[in-house]
Amino acid sequence: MKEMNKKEKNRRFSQYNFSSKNRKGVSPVIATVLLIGLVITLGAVVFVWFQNFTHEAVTKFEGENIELVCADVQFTANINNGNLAISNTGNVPVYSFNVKIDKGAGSYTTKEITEAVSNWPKIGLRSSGVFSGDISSYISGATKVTLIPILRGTVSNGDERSFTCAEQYGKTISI
Amino acid sequence: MNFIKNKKGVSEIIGYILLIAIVVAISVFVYQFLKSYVPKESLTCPDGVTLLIPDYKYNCLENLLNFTVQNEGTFSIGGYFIHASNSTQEIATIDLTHYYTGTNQLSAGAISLGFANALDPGKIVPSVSNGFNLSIDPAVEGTLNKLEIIPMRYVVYQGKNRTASCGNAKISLPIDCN
Repeated sequence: MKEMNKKEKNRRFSQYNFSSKNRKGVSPVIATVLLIGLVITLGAVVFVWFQNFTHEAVTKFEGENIELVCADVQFTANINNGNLAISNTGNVPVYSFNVKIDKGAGSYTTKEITEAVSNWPKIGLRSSGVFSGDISSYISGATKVTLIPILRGTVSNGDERSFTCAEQYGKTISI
Repeated sequence: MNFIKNKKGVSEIIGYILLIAIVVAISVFVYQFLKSYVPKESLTCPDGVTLLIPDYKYNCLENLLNFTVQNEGTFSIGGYFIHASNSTQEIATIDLTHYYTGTNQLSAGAISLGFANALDPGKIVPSVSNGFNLSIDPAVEGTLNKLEIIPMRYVVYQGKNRTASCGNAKISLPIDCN
């Protein structure tokens, strides 16, 4: 009986055939090459996919992210009898401004300063530059005017691109 | 059991190599993405930079202006930005460098006293070197009522010689005809 069980076991074992001589599969070298190729391909796919979710970094001053440069922008501004005066008191040239007009009750409009005044300099306001222009037609009915700086930086391929700073870096003038 | 002895797989060394390669690739990618967010030193002026206009001469009829500039601070100065106002506007918006008749050079919108910070503490730029003729521009109407002067220093920034505006040291001076 015990011999029968042992024979039966061996028969079943050989039937399932776990012997390495008969087992077929890919060789370890090919498996390694396939694995490495798969990892590289997956990495490239993830990289391209991830790029679509992130915006290209705009930099200024030898590689510093322009979002950080916004914190160094310093300027003073005033509106007197419809005349807007701006003085760039810092060392960051300001390319343009977004002019946000608050008319109260949650109503506001935003325009770039080139649309609000006619004599904004093309290259913007350099360090210690000053500007004066008539903005009366644009601010009628406004209770507050907020100037938000727009800077100019470069992207990785060398192209120039504008970047609007966050509103916290702007200045609000009460009318 | 035989199937345990005969089980095949990728060797541990290959596994380690793959892991390390993946980690290095990810770290390079993250570095490229984040390196621009490392804050760099800003272009600033040191505290203690001060200019003074001890006297001026303003001929309203001929629209001629001269003034003396004195370095009252503890750092040498390379020049200054000068603006004027002829209205009730708080901010002076007339750039006087457009009307400069003095002997110094203009650099980046400032009156430069040389290629270095040449105006030492206590030194003076005499009024004969600081002349402005506004009569050449008929668009400048009325008389000037205020001057604003901002010191300028040459600083080495990211390996290059740059002009730094000392906006925090700006001074305003009301003027009238004399």
